[in-house]
Amino acid sequence: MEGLTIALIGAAFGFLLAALGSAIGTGIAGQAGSGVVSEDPQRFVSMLILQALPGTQGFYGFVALMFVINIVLGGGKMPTPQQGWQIVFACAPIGIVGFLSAIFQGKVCVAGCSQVAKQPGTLGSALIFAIVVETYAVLGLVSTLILLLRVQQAVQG
Amino acid sequence: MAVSKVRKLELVAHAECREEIVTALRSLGAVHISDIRELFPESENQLPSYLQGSLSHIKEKLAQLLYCILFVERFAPKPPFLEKLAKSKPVFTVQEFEECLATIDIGKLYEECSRLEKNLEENRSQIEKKETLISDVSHWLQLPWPLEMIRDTQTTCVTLGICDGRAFNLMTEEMAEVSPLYHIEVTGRSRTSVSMVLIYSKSVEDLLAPVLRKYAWRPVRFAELNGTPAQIVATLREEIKELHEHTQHICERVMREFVPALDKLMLLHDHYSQECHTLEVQRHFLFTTRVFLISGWIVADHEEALRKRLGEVTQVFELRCYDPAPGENVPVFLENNRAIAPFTLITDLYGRPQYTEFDPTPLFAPFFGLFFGICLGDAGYGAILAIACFIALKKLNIYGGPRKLLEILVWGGIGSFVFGLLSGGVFCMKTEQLPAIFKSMMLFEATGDVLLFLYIAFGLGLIQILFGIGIKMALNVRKGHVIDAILDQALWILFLISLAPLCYKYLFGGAVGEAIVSHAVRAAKILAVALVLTQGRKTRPLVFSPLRGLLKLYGVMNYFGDVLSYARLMALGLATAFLGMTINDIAQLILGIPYGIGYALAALILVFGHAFNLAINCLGAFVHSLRLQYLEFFSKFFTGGGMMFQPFAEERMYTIVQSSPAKPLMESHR
Repeated sequence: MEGLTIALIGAAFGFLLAALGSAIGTGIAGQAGSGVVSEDPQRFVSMLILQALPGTQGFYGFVALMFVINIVLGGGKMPTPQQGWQIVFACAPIGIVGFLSAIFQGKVCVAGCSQVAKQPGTLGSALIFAIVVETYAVLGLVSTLILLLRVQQAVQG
Repeated sequence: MAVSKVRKLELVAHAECREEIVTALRSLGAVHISDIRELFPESENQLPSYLQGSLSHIKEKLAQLLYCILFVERFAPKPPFLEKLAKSKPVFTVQEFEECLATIDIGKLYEECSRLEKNLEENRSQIEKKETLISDVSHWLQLPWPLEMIRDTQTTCVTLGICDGRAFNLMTEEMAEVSPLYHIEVTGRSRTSVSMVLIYSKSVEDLLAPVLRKYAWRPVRFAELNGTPAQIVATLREEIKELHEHTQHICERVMREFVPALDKLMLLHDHYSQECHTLEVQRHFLFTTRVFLISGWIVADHEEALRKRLGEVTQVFELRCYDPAPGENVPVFLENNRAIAPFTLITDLYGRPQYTEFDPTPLFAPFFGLFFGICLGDAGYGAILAIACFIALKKLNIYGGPRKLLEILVWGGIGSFVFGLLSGGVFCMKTEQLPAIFKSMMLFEATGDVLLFLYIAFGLGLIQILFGIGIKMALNVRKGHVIDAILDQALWILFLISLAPLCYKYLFGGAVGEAIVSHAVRAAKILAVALVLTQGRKTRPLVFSPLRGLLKLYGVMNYFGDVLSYARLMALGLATAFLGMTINDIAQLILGIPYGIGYALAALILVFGHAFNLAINCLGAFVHSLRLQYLEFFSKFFTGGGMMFQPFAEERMYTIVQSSPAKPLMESHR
């Protein structure tokens, strides 16, 4: 396989996994939110905020993808197959951590939905519980970017 | 700092002037009334019987009013969402209010409303009933005979009936086999059912009955209906029309007579719910036969105003204010200047400071604005956000928490505007496309110089964390624990500062001058030894204290983790930029479609794409900045969990009564 093909596979899977996790996370949080809104329509905005939280991992995956396309492959020189594999592994942190953290964050948000339903006015703490999970997705993205920067230096010389 | 000085208050007065005093307290809105059981645990929070009576009377009125309002509201036109927000509360003068109170008879209104609703309900069920009847009778619409003629003769049975459409042929065949003494006149046929008039000789009833049963034929009787089916349906239609007209008439009447008075009903609702609250508050009073006692809290600056106001009302009272004893649970009132005040929303979300603590709001507010700005990181977005929120604040009637939130977002937008200019983010344009004026303002390129961006984030994190430890140190000094301040905080601050260049060089591969490194290593070694020796100084027996110190030194990992956590600033900033760039790219691709369609589509994509990007990243920027304050910053010096100062004050949810006798001293928090 060409280096470019391998690199694109890496970028695609980084995004794919993270976005899949986000889809699952927002999916379950949305179901819980919908249940709360059916009882109390005024909670819609809080529920929407809680549902949107596990969505960010997808964006992080997208950032990694754009980074590979625009920065690593942006200089005109194509990577060797070996560098292609390096890109695949560099994309793994955000892909895998994003996938899992989005699902778990979704679960925390589900719990947050019922918390806010029972105790209105505690949206702040529900958000914080969810954001603690997201820390690791953020670290995943940062590691991916640092690894990609290293590969970029090698590719573009 | 901005935690106001609060004094304990005890007010004893004659029961005769109870009402005047309570009204004065309410209009002043300066007293936090606490439960008398804190002073007299044996008190049962019972209202005296005469107050209990008026409370239940008011509650009944309130319930009736609420019923009327809900009933009338169904007929009121619904304004669009934004218009509803932009509409100000209806304003009444004191005279108008008193006139409303005197003229509107709630009991009568309630009766009228419930009668009308009953009428409407009856009409609806009548209409439904008649419509069902029409659909039943229309099966026999072709029948030319009046229904009262369908009845048995001496030797034959004549009856209407209906059976399943698919079973009809089988049924007639089987009936023909049993006996010829019957006749079926089919009057209606649909895919599912056949309606008919069945005539048969009474002599063969026993033979035909099993067949009819087998095919689920069922007889239908219309009691009390006269005339041919066609006539009946026509009459029913006529009746339904009349009922509709009656309903319409009632609706029009409600629209004409009641809907315009809705604001007045709201005014009364506000009045009575306030009265109700006022009586409920008096449960916290202590009543004797002649006097009553209020215990509570007051912000020290308001004490004179209260004394003056009470003096205007009556002379028979005794007011005592004194400073709270140490350790007492004092309600906390925060006072901040206008720029900082909205950020108290964030402090309150975490928990008010203890009375003995200070208000952290002014300390984190600048950090919050800055961090929000970095996370959003785009000058264009920042300008739009700040301007949009500013306009919303000016034009829409938003109060309480949401208003503070918008004010915070204005600051966040300004932060984002500034940081966007410095880092070359203007509507996520690529750097080479940036107009020269923005390029000249750029200090570094956020999307190109990612590592530098990351180090800036870490640097800011280190600064905030050191600042947090510094605050703790100042607190210790103020309490007189100078040794703690030096050993627990100053040593750590120096240690972390000496570690920073080492981390930068060895962990991140940054370039640091040789001289700095050697100084830093020496300082770090000395400080580490000092920390090991001092951190365990409170451990007994003393032999274990260095061990304990060693363990505490491991706490450096916590600080390291805290600093790493600030990487999110860079990650979120890049997320905004890259998403926005993609939106721009897509719009550019589409531009090529001919006949101007390309331009229209590109404009749509740009507007909606950037709006979405702005919204989703605002959410991210807000909660992540929030988290940095709560988990990384507050943990260094702040406990929180104080009781909120909630003054007993006037509260009107839906209406405003102008020229209240006096302006309340503070905004109510309920």
